[in-house]
Amino acid sequence: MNCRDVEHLLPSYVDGMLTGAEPARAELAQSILAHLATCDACRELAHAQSVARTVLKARAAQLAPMAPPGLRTRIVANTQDLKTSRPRDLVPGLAWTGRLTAFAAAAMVVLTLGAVLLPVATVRSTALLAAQLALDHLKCFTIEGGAGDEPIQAAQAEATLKQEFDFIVAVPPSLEAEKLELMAVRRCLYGDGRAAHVLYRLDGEPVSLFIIPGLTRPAAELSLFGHEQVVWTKGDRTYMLIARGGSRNALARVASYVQNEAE
Amino acid sequence: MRDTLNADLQAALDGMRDAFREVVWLRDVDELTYQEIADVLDIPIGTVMSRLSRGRKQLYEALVRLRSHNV
Repeated sequence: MNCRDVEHLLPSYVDGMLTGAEPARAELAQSILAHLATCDACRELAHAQSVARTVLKARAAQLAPMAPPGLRTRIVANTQDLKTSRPRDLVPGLAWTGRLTAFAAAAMVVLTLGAVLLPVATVRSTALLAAQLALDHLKCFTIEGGAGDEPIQAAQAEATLKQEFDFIVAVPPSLEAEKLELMAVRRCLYGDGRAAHVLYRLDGEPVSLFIIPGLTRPAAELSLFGHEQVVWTKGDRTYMLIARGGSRNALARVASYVQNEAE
Repeated sequence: MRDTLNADLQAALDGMRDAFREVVWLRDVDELTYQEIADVLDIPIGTVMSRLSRGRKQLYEALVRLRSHNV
């Protein structure tokens, strides 16, 4: 393996994709390690990649809402015919996970143009909704619900929602057994501000509950933009719970609790 | 490097070549997979990997340069 090979493979190595029991991956990782042991330039490159990724990941929540304008424009240009193309990687059924290649692209189109989603209940449109709300989730936590803030009472949250936009909703309170804390409520930017955004922290990590009146979506579990989303409908409202990826089990327990409590 | 200021990071990102910045951004900020990046940018996955490698290096070098200027 030469320096050019290593340069090409380093992202996979730094991103932890060459771990696991699969022989081919293990062999590649061993070859890269052997080369790094003898090559100062490639070792420096590996260090640079690792630091750059760490710095960006640590600030991803703050950076995410500030995507370079040119990037979104280019993605829009590359996905102009998305509406007429067949979505790839789509697994039929309501509960699904996996790669969202076409959805991710479509979501960026929506986010870029600031479009309001049409209330057509399809798995695809649910993914677009999830993508948009994942961005709102990040934005709102940069404004409210900071790690140093104090939790609020459910009654206070309900009064705020009633007072600010005449929205009567039972807000699930903090749940000590799950280390779930109710932090704040906001009017969501989605759908001309018709939706409520309830901000929680689950063991310190941001979790959002979006309540969207006048919209129904099939139940679904999604993974998008590094986030896990659980969607369900009760009455004429759609509910969506969103948390950072890697917390699927905890999020499922919270979803069960919130589904019973939220009205 | 842990104490790198956000202003330095913004300047370093601004100074990157567009082709590198967009791949690095989609991977390390948006957490898209390589295949997803290849699809939304309409480039081969091999190009994604090489741009990611060179882009991260460019970002790191810019951060080091900015930091040394600010010390």
